[in-house]
Amino acid sequence: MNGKERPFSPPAIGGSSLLVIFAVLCLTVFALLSLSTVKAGTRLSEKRSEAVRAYYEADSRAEEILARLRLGELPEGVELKGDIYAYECSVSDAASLAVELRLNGEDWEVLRWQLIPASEWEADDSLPVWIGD
Amino acid sequence: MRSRSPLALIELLIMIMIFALAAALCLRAFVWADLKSASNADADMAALHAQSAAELLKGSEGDYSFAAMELGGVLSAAQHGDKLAPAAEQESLLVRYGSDWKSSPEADAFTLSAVPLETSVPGLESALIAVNDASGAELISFTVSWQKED
Repeated sequence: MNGKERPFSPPAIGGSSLLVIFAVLCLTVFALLSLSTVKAGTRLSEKRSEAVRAYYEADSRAEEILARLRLGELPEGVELKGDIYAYECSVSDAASLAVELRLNGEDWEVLRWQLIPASEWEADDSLPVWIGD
Repeated sequence: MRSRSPLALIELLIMIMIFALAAALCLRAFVWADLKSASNADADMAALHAQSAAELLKGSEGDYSFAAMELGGVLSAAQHGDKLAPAAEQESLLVRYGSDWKSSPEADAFTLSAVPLETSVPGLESALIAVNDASGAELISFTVSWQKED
């Protein structure tokens, strides 16, 4: 013992450690951001494909009903409003395909073949947005 | 006083190892995200091209030659199966796409096919439209129908 205590020195955490910690944090954050972006993109892509499939499925059902009408049948779900035949084919919970047809002699005239929202539009006027002077 | 050089060297080595490990893990995540993003873009393009084919067939009332000409595809004999149209003279549409989604007879990255289907209702025609990638995996498929004019 030399009688003189050595002063306590904390473990050396140098600049390189701080730099690496910062770099690793940045890498991790960017990796997580890219993964979440891709996950959202995948969900969107799947929804888009599903929407296309559902639309053509409903469109095929509507075409089949039209074909049956042309054969002289009155398929289930077809309403006769005056001389207009109207029916709807569900596309999804949020939309359906509305069809209106009129028989002109032997020809079927398509008056409406339209994708419509399944529920009524509810305007949200809770926010005080600027609507002009 | 003892030199701190070995301690600094050990610290540097440990930090390099940690960085290498984290970089390798993050790089894997980046590569996976890039591949998945490309696969999503392909699925979107497949849906777009399938829609184009469907609307061409509907608009032309099942004129496969017209659809083949517009899409840059070819006509081939319809495949036969339980579900498919049995008429031998019916043709199916085949369009080949490269990885950039440009149609070319030599391309083999993606294929779009439109095969006529048998329908139970007279006057109605249907086709099964499918887009597959080079490995045969299906990106999208659906049935499209139209009226057969006499």
